[in-house]
Amino acid sequence: MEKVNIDIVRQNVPQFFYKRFEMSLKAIGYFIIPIDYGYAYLLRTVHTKWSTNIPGEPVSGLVFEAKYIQQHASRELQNKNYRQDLISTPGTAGKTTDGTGTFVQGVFSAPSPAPFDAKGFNINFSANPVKNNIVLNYFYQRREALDLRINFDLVNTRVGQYVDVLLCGYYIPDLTLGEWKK
Amino acid sequence: MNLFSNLINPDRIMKLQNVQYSEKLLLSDTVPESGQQLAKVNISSLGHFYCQFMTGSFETLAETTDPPGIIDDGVSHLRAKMSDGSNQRQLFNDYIPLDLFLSPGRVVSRRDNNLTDLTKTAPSNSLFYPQPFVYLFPVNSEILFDVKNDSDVELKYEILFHGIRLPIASRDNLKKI
Repeated sequence: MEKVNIDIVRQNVPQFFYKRFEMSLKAIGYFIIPIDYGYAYLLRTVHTKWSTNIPGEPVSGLVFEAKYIQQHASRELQNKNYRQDLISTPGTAGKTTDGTGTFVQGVFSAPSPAPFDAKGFNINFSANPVKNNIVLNYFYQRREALDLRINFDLVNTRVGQYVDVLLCGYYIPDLTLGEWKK
Repeated sequence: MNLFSNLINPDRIMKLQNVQYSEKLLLSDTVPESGQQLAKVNISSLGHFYCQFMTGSFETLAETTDPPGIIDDGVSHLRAKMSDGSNQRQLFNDYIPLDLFLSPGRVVSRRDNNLTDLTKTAPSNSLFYPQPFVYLFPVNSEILFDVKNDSDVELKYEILFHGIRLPIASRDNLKKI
């Protein structure tokens, strides 16, 4: 074990950005978040959860595909849309049932309310746990907005879906700036 | 730390443990039904706390009329926003559903009136990987956790911060390590 270096002012700061998208068949989601002055942002992992709520269609395991793009650099961070469940859990959030209740990915979905809670936002998800994530390490420069465009491509559905996206990363202080110098 | 890749020096490790040692801080609270509550855990005056991971679990209860009572519906009702109490820095940009970042996540509660019906109640989730959360919380500060509950039943949650305690006094006296 190495000795921990204490640097409260100039340390990296964990920063989670959360957004809920309501999408149609093909849609684009925009993350436009101003990065704090003096920091860059390192995006480590993306956690996603989406609904599989298709009336009259008892399909589970529905997925959506996404493509991450850095707007500021016009940089596509992958060559094609890929299935979101290939890089992160918990993934699907269950589906509504016909009133009998089913188990979806190990999580019980009660008849009433079903995975979508009838109260609150009306769009709560069943509580699938986060099991694993692939580290992305996308880096965003300082002095700009975190301007990320995500192309959603819903597979095998006809209705709008809700998608929760959580970006987990760190603010990295730019030590070349005068405000951080000792 | 990979124990088997380095020669273990007991003397050095004992000295090092005087200035930093593993510690876990628990944050536990019950959020009233359809309400919001701010919980906090004190870092104390002992020293800084270098957080590395967090794990957590929460209840997923709701009220039902048929059958009357409380049922574990497996729905995530809690959303939270974390901040550093020393400088009020927001570590989350919005209220994030707890199931999106906590492992093991959902636990079955004994308050579920239908708990005896094992055909309808799924088991609690089990621990997978803890959520990395590397941050130095300063001495005498607080970890603030503001939680909203949109269930009509009060819900309990627990979060465990895994990290390293850095005692101030020891580090000042034992600089040569």
